[in-house]
Amino acid sequence: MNCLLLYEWILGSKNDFLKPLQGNDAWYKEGLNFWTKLENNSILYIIMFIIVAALLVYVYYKPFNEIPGRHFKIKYWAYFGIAALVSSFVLTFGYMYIAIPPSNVEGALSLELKLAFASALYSALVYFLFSCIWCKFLPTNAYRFV
Amino acid sequence: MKKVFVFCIGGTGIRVMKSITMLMASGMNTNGYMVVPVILDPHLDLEEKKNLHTLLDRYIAIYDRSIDNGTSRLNPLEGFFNSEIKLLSQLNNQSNDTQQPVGSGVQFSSYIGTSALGANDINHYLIETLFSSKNLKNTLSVGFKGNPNVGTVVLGDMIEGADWFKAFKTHFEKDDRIFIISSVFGGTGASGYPLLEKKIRGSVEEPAVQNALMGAVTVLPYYGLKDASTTGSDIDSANFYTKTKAALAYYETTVKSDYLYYIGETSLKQVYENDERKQDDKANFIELIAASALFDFLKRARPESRQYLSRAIESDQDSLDLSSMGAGYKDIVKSVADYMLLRELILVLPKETYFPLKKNRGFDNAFYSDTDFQSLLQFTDTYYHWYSELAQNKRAFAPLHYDSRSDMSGWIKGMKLKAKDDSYYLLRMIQHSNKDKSKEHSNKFRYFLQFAYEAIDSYTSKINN
Repeated sequence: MNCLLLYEWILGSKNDFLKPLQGNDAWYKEGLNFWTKLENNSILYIIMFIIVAALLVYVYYKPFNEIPGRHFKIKYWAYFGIAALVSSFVLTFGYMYIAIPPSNVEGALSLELKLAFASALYSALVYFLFSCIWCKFLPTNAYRFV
Repeated sequence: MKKVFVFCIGGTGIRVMKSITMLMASGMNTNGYMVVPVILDPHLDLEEKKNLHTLLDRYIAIYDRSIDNGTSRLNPLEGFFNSEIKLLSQLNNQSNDTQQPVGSGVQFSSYIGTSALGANDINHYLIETLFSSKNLKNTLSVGFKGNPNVGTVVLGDMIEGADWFKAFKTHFEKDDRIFIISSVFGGTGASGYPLLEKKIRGSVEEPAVQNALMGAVTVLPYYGLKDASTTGSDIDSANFYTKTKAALAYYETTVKSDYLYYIGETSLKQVYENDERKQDDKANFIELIAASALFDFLKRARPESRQYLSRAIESDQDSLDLSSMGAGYKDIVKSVADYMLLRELILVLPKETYFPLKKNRGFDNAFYSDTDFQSLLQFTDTYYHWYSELAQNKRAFAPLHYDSRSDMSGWIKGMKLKAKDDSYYLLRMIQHSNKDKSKEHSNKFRYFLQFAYEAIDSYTSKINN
């Protein structure tokens, strides 16, 4: 399933990545292989940022706000949002590092960083959306400011 | 609803009633009795009398607001302000001023009409026997200046035929009770207590009044006054003990109360300014203990024979906490600790922009600016000063560490509470609010007091273990 389309706004298209490699068959083949592996794992990147965001929303609105310390303040919600962002970035990049063998193709590292960055942003967005849903429908001790 | 008419006679009566009001606000229970204070002090401009009236008005306003449900009344809260106070004037729907102008510059000799006696009238000798020339020349605007012989005459007139005494008898019902608070070393209390008792037990046309279950607390000397000769005052604390002995000798054969509480100190630990006009005496531990006598009285049944009660402390310390007072004082210490914690919440919450109950329960800026909350704030300010006076007086009542917000686990001395700072109480307020799904009313003020009490009690109830 090609979920990499969700990242096209930052990664560019497959053609944009492979075009500079067309002059060299070996580089082109490696680049194509690299892109294909990225595509094949793309559903996992999406699952990862959704799970990270959902987990951090749950932790903020439930167990974290059962502990004293004025955790209902907006700054703590923001910290958890930042944690979602950073965690998604690290997890996504880390997963790619393990699952996809490193490639010497020019632009490969940059692509991975951009993908991880985009996942981080999506995670923050999902964190915000899940927060809205939680504040509207579910019980919490936190301030329902969304 | 059953009532207890609390007669507060003289300066000590006023100060003890102040402590009663504070303890009631803190959550001490009157066992279902509505308290009807009747303040008897002819000292016209006494600041603490005016302050007590203001305090009572505020208490009543807060209580009434806490049970208000539009057109109906809710049950009283459990916890803060759980018992009702009603003024005699409110029962009667008219002004029954116990502040009758017997004083206002009139000399006692004029009051008893010595000038109407002929030069050779033998009654002059009687008057000279009963009253000194100083007694006769004293004006009555500042009370009886520690002279119960004067008080007996004037107060007798005050009570007899007074509108408020008639109103009291009219509103007294079968299960109601009477409690009298007085000192035994002053002028007003020492004379007023036996007089009032006599009038009550002599009310043959009102059998409910005549046979009422009656309690009294008599306060023995617990403070001194600066040397009268240096201040020009007529009140001399050097003869407090002499007067006490004389009064107690009289009480031995004449007292008519079913329960008589004696409260006193081992010595005159504190010396105040001898200003008969101002009588600016700070709140004292003895007054607090005298106040607790009312709550004890309201739990007791009619005895078969007259009961004489007192109470002691565990250890003779100048500054008392729970361990030096003893386990018998847990209820008082908990109440005061609870209200001082309420004060913390009252000060902190208006500044909490993201406190969840702002949205969930409407505890927003409009709520905090409203007259109800402002009344609570003013009452609490008075409470804080009252406790501060108790904690700094001699002997001090100081069971709390209330000046360290960073570590509140030691709030009650000698105990460790689980709540380390105010955020613990805030969280508990939120949790209790979330648990409360009832739609019985929409009284935000009541919810505020209710959740605050539940939060505080969840930590301080440990004191009873």
